[in-house]
Amino acid sequence: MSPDEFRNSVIPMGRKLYTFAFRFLNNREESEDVAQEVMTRLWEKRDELSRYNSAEALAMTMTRNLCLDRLRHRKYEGYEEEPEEVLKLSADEPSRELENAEASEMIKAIIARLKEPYKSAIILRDLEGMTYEESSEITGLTINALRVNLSRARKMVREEMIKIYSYGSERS
Amino acid sequence: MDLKEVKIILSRYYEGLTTEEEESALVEYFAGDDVAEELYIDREWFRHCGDIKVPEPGEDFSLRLSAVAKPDNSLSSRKSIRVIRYSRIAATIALLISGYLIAQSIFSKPAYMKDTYSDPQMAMAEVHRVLAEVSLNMKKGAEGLPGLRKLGEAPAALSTFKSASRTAAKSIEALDLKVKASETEVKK
Repeated sequence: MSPDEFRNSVIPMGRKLYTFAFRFLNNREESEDVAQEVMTRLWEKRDELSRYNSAEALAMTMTRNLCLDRLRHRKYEGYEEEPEEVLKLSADEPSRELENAEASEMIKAIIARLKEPYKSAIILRDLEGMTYEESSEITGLTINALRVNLSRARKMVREEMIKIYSYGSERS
Repeated sequence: MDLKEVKIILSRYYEGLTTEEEESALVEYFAGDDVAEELYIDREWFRHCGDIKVPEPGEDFSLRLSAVAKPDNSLSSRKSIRVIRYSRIAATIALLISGYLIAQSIFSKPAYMKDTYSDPQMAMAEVHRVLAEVSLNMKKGAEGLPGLRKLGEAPAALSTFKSASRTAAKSIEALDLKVKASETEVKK
């Protein structure tokens, strides 16, 4: 792949890689670093990219692996989860938007606490909207194994949501 | 889609058995206004899982990505950056070790001195004696080296040679003039 082809077809994927990394890491700077690291690796192997079915699937796989490495590293170093980058809402925004933000932030927090391989399954399919085939390629799992993980992840998120909403209704 | 059908698909959804089309149908159903109250949790999930916001990357993010695709951004340059990083670490370690050694030498007790004189006059007399002995030995050593003496005579011999060569050059010039004069007379 020529440098121009790389600039036109691979570099634009950077934003998607950043978003995907953020789903795992919940940290802007780290997600940017991961996206840049993936780009650098792709640049170094640009002559081999034509051998892969999809450069995007390769990039997503690399992003996921780097994110999991970082998460493992955090755990190893006893890293305390940083406060999540919450959605900044101004005081005069309509209450419905605030409610939506709260719900999505709650779901985000629940997913952040999921363990692998459940986290990857739900991020790929339900948050990023990837097909089962794409998700299977990125995770290196069979579609059946991916479906099993996805089922477990969805049930765990639902159970957590029930707990949170029950607690909220009991308080009110 | 009626409630019974929604519940069947939903149960398959949580078992991970739904097709992508069925999942799209669920998203569509929960986006509507006619959602059963008993499916409140599922409605919250389907409505909000897709709109989890991700903050915008920093302003220089695009530049950082573009900078990747430059000819000089090769593996070797990254390796050299790594080498510099390791060198810094090594220099820091060396600095810490030398700092430790210096601190140790400053704060440790001075070495115990033994076999010294408590009377300064006796010490001075001993110094004189040792220096005289060293001087005597040096003189003996110099006498034993005739080449060293000849080396000292060399500058005087060299200046004699220089003056002799200057005198010889002047004599040659005078002789040369005389020869030229006699040649002129013969021609006449």
